[in-house]
Order: sequence, then structure tokens, then C-alpha cells
Amino acid sequence: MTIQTTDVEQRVKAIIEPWKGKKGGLIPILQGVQHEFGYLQEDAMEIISRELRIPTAEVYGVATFYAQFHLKPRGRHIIRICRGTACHVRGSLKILERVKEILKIEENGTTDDLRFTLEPVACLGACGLAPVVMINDVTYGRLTPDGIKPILDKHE
Amino acid sequence: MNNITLTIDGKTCDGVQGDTILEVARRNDVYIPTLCFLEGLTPIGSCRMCVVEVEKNPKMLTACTTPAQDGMVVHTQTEKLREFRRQMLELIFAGRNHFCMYCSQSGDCELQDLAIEHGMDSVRYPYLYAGFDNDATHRDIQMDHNRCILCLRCIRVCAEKVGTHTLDLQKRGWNATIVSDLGRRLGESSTCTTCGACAQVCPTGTITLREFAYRGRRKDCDDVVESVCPLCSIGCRIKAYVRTGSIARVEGTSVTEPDGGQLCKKGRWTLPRSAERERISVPMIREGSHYREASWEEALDLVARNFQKAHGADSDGILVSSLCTDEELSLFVSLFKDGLGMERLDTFDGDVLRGFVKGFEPFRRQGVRPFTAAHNILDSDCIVNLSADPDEEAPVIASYMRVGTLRNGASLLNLSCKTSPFADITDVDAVTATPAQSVALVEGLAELVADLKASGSEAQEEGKISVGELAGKTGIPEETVERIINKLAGSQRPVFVLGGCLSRDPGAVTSAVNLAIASRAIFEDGIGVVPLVVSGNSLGTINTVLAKEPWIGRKKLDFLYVYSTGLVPEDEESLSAISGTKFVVVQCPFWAQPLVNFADVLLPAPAWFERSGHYCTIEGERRRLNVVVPPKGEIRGLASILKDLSAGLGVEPEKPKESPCGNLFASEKPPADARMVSLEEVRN
Ligand code: SF4
Ligand code: SF4
Ligand code: SF4
Ligand code: FES
Ligand code: FES
Repeated sequence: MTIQTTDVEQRVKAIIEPWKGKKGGLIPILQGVQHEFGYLQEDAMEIISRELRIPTAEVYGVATFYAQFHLKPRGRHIIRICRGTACHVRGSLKILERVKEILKIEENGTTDDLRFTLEPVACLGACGLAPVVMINDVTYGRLTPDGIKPILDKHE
Repeated sequence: MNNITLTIDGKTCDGVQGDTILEVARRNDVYIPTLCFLEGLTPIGSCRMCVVEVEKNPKMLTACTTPAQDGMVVHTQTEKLREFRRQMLELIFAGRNHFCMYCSQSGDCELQDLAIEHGMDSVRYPYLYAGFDNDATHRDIQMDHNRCILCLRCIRVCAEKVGTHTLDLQKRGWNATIVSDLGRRLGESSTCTTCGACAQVCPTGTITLREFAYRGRRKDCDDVVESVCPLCSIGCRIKAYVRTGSIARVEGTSVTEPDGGQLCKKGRWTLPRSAERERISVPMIREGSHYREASWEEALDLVARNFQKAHGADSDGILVSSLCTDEELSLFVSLFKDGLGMERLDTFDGDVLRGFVKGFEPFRRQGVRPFTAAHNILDSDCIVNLSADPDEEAPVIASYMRVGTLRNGASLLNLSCKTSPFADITDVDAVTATPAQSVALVEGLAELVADLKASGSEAQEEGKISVGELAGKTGIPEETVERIINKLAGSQRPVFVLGGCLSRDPGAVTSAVNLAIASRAIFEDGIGVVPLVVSGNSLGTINTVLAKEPWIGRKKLDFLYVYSTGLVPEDEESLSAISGTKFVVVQCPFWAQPLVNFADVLLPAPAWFERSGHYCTIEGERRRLNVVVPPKGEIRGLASILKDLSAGLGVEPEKPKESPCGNLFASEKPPADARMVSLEEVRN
């Protein structure tokens, strides 16, 4: 999917509009833009910088400070593999390795077809089910390396 | 202001309410170590080196950010503090690559100095051995992120003083690094001006100027001399570091100055590099297609003979660089103008200056000073760019404009025939198709704004221009014209930056001052206009060598004495006039092409770092140029050369007049008394 520049410009400006002339808009705007496009693309940050008159470096600093912001496109499905202690002890590394192998991506990488993004995370708070993987909002527990492929296949 | 008294390390220290503990301590000569703090930049209290203990307070406090309070009893050197500081230093060392023997800044590093001061002989924490980038993408500036202590001085100077805000911090914690623009490396930045301010303030070996690293550390230098940069009309103060008789590096003076101790890329690089240029070291006389060396006597004798012939035939001229000091300019005047009655003296940028002089004249006659010190841009709430290109003409002015807009919240208007050089931060960009139209715009705006301020309404008077007419005449949409008028009328203290290209039309200069008066651009020292005259001492030429009327290129001359400092290229028009002259004397420190090719006699001259004297700067100050390195060999000062020449000519030069720019800066009447004038006066 390619996004037309003028289109981006209009959509970003619409998100900025309510914040014009007010303070404290940068973070909500970044959130809004990420919600709209799935990530913070460079053009969008440039427009924000120009419209709010905040230097690009500052916008970039804020965007990279918070873990919630993503500067690269993310997949339609987010795979969160728990790397907390309990899951580690019960073999989460093997699951991680298997997913990397199947999807041919690295940690925090996204597949070329934008299907999956892989994010190792600390404890998901479901240690009783270790090892745990979350895909989007669904939690899968007591997984084995072999059990992961059928689950992935269910996601288009 | 309330005075307060503190006891610091047993010493009674005076301060005022609002001071930090550090400020009180420094003013009273009590030493507290600091690292992230740099006077003139917003304190951030991040490195914790400046911690102190205050009695009745259980916590250690950072002196650089803690407000001083009356009666505080402060200790700065307890065992606990020293141990804590040492721990902080160890953490910093463990965090990144501070193996000093592999660092170009070793011996010239504030971090290293502090480690030595605190007896840090080992690091008790595990090293992180992080693999950050050593960014070598920039031509001149090296940025080794492995040595960064995240003190943010570079970011602060770039944002608060240079105003480009190229640098910021990306990510956080131990993963944080300095980054430019939208995640670029420095060499890929589109906003960096290569001013080098970040390297100047970096306390470690992270940001370094490669060239200066080659030439040696500050501490290895034999001398540091304060002087001024001759390259543009601001005349920034500089510190020149001298090592083995040559200039090793040039830095701005102090971050507390209005200019923030910055230098622009011209000063930073052209000045030290000039020390390595090829010199004209002995007098030379042309013989056919080459030069032969000659003695001073022979060369000056030839000059005198040719001069006399031409002088008798009224076919002689003197063309002098405006990078000369007041004293040098006065010497030319006393010999040639006062002594020999010559009229044909001028400076290379004479046309630009005459425009300013003529355009300012009506206001001078009113007894007000029609311009203000450049750094007052920082105090303005509406900055107007009138056909200027400050990043080229006087880059530190561009810094003032950016900082004024980005940090102090001023509006930025561009009224010009070129799009704003500050595209992203310009509020109103009024670009006309022709220069004449942008002058007309200024003229019309002056009328409209004056009316609005006088009557409080836009009611149109008989015979006066209307917004619609002005829009029609200039091709600027009516709505834009309205916006400009509202901005100007609504601001407390606008300031107008006047590009040199405008001044060829004195009427344009007068209109600009009219508009400034109409919009009540009144500063303590003068009217809110900042004229971008060309070089370090352009103002100083006004009462000395500047001709009343232009003569260069108007008539073929038999003799021309050209004095160039060799630092800025000569303009086409002057060069063609020089090449068309029968006998040309070029006096210049450097083998400056193409100028030297036109000479019949070449005379050496001292370079900027070998001369002393004064400059009249657009900062409204007379600043002193000092000898950084004494001249060597056959190079002689101008005074002694002109003395010999006048002896050869058999004339006694008149005594040089004092301070040629004294009356320039004077203001007999308060600037608020200034009245607008009619353009007829200057345009006829
Ligand atoms: S930056 Fe300073 S402390 Fe770090 S390695 Fe270089 S000299 Fe040593
Ligand atoms: S060289 Fe100047 S403009 Fe560039 S990053 Fe450093 S301080 Fe900023
Ligand atoms: S680059 Fe230098 S000035 Fe900038 S944060 Fe790092 S150590 Fe401080
Ligand atoms: S460690 Fe994986 S859910 Fe707690
Ligand atoms: S100097 Fe005070 S915290 Fe760094």
C-alpha cells in the first residue's frame, strides 16, 4: 500500500488542527498519527514539525523516547513473545527462534508483506501459562515450538 | 532585587534572590565542579557533579539548579560528596568508551580533568562496551557517540544559541544518543550550518572538529589571543589559539555574550585556514608575464613614480578593503585624501554602503540613530526580513532570527523578492516578482501601518494608498498584505533586517526605516533596523575612505592602489575596473587569485592575525582586532609602508583623525522622536 503525499498531508493536518496554537500537543498528535497510519512516517513528522514549529530533531527525540511510538510500518498482526523469567525457563527462546525462522525476520522486525511484526516482551503477567505468546489481543499458553506454526497460519 | 547571604564552605557569600547556589559560589570564588552546566545555557542538572550538601537538608542538591536561599549553610567538599562525585564519574566512564589513550581529546577533556581531580584511578562498575556509531559522515565534524556523556550541552547550544536545533536526543537511558534532524547522521543533516558551536562546548571527545584535532589540543597551545572576526559586519569576538607560531583553532568567546559565543562557519573555518595560505612575502615587480622579487625601496620608488604621473593627470585612485581597521583606513585618508587632496578613494563595497548612508541620511539629520545593535533582534517580538539572506550575509544574524522565532516566540515575516531563507518558521512569506515591487511593498506598508497606528482604524485618507492598491501594485494578495499590517501593528517591538542588496536604492533603505518608525520599532540605542553592511569594518569606511559618488569603472585610470585583505573575493565590477587600469599596485597578505594577476607591483601586507586596530560593528560597538601572531620577514605594517611612500612623494600626511565611527553610533535624540520622511528627499 502506498500512501499519496497530499493525502498524508491532509490527514496529518487534520490531526494537528485542534492543537494549533496550544501547548502540549506533540504527544497526542503523534499518537493520533500513529493510530491513523500505524506508524510515524517521516513525511508526517516533517509536517508536524512545520505546523507546530517544533524542530524536526525535537519531534524525532520525542518519537524515539516513548516505546509506544513506531517509526517503521508494523504488521497487521503483532506477535508478542514473552521473554520473562518464567517463560524463559520453560523454553520461550526456542519459540522465538522458531518464529524467526518461519517468518524470516529478526526481533522487532516486520515481514515484507506487512503480515507480522515480532516483538519480544518482558513478563506478560500470565506466568502460570508459561511459555506465553500473544498475537494481537489473544494469549496462547503452554506453547511448544511445533505448536506455533498452526497458530501463525490462522492469521492472514 | 533582594540580597541574600549564604555560607559556603565557611565563607560568607553574597548573592541575590533568584541565583542558584552555583552562581553565588562562582561569584564569590568558591569552586564547585560542574560538567553538564555551561554558563549561558539553560541548566539541566543531569550530571550531578555539582552536588552540594546544605545543612538541615538530608539530600544532596545539584548546585547548578538549586535556588540559593538566604541563610543557607552549604558544603561543597565533604568526603561524602567527593565519594559520590567519584562514583558518578566511574559510572560515566563505565557507560561508554572512555579509554583516554585512544581519544583525540585526551589532555583537553573536562571529563578527564574531573576524573583526575577526583583521584579516580579505577572503575568499580562493569563496563558496558556498547557499540555506538562513530559518525564520520560530516566533512568537518566528527561525532563519536561512544564518548558521549549525554550532558546535552551540544543540543542546548545548537537550539538556544545557533537556533537551528539540529541536534536532539534519541531513545533514552543508556541507549540514548545525540541525533540530528529526523534521525539523521550529522553529515546528512539538512539544518546543520557547520558552525562548530556544538564541538566548541562539548566537554569530551565526542564532537570534535577534525582539523583542529590535527593541529593540537587547546592545552598544547602557547597562547590564546582575543580578537574579532573580520569576515562579516557583526565582527564576532573570537579567541585564537596559537601553537608554534601558527593558528591552531578559533573559537567564540563566551556563551554569556548576546551572540552566545558562537562563530559561523566562515569564522570557524576561514580564519584558521587562512593561516596556511600562500603568502606574498616580499615586494614583487611585474616583468612580462611573471614577477621578480624586489626590495621595498625599489618597489615603492616605482609606485611613487607611477603615482605622481597619474596624479598630475588626475587619473589615480585608491581602492581599500572594508576589512581594514579604522586605523588603517585613517592612514589612507590622511595621506591620499587630506595630504594629496585626492577624491578617488573608495572601498569595494562602496555602492552598498552609499545606499545605506544616503537612505539613513534624513534620519541622521533628525539626530536619531537609524539602526540598532544586531543582538536586539533577540528582544523583538516580530522579526521582518527585508530582502536579506542572513545565512550568507551575516550568519550570526540568522541565528538571532531563528532563536528569536523558535525560542522567544517572535513572528517572522519575509518581505522580499526571494522566498524566505527560513521557510519552515516564516509566518508570512510575501514574495514579489521583482525587487522594485518589494520596495514598493515596504513603502506602501509604511503608509498603511502609520495610518493604522495613528488613528487606530484603517479608514483611508485622501490620496493615500489602499490595501487593494498596494496588493495590485506588488502582486501580493490583499489578504497577505492585511496579515502583515496586523502583525506589525500588533507587535510591541518589531525589528527589520535589511539585506545589502536593497541598499543600492537609497529609497529602499529610507522606506525600511519609515516602516520601522511607523511600526514603532524603537530600541534604546536607535530605530529597529539592522543593516547588513558587508564586512567587519564596513561602517568604519563611512567616515574615511567611502567616496561620496561612485567612480570605480566610470573612467579608465592610469594608476590604482588596491589594498585587499585577501579574505573575501573581490566583486566582478571592481576586478574589471582594476584590470582596465594602466598601472596597478596590489597590496595583499595572500596570493589571492585573480586579484594578484592584475598587479604591476605586488606588496606584502600583514594578514588579519598580524594586525591590530578597531572595527565598527553592527553590534554597535567598536571592537578591537589584536595581533595574534607577529608578522615575519619582509612583512611590514601599513603605517611604515605609507610613511616611506609619502616620503617618496614628498608629502606630509595629515594626522589621522580619531575614531571614525564615533558619530555613527551616536544618537542625539531619543529614537522615539524619529519622524518618517518623504522619499522625494532621497530619490532625486
Ligand atoms: S572523552 Fe575524555 S574521558 Fe572520554 S576518552 Fe576522551 S579524553 Fe578520556
Ligand atoms: S555545527 Fe552548528 S548547526 Fe551544526 S549541529 Fe553543531 S551547533 Fe548545530
Ligand atoms: S556530544 Fe558532547 S556535548 Fe553533546 S551530549 Fe555528548 S558529551 Fe555532551
Ligand atoms: S514470564 Fe512470561 S508471562 Fe510472566
Ligand atoms: S553541573 Fe550541575 S548537574 Fe551537571
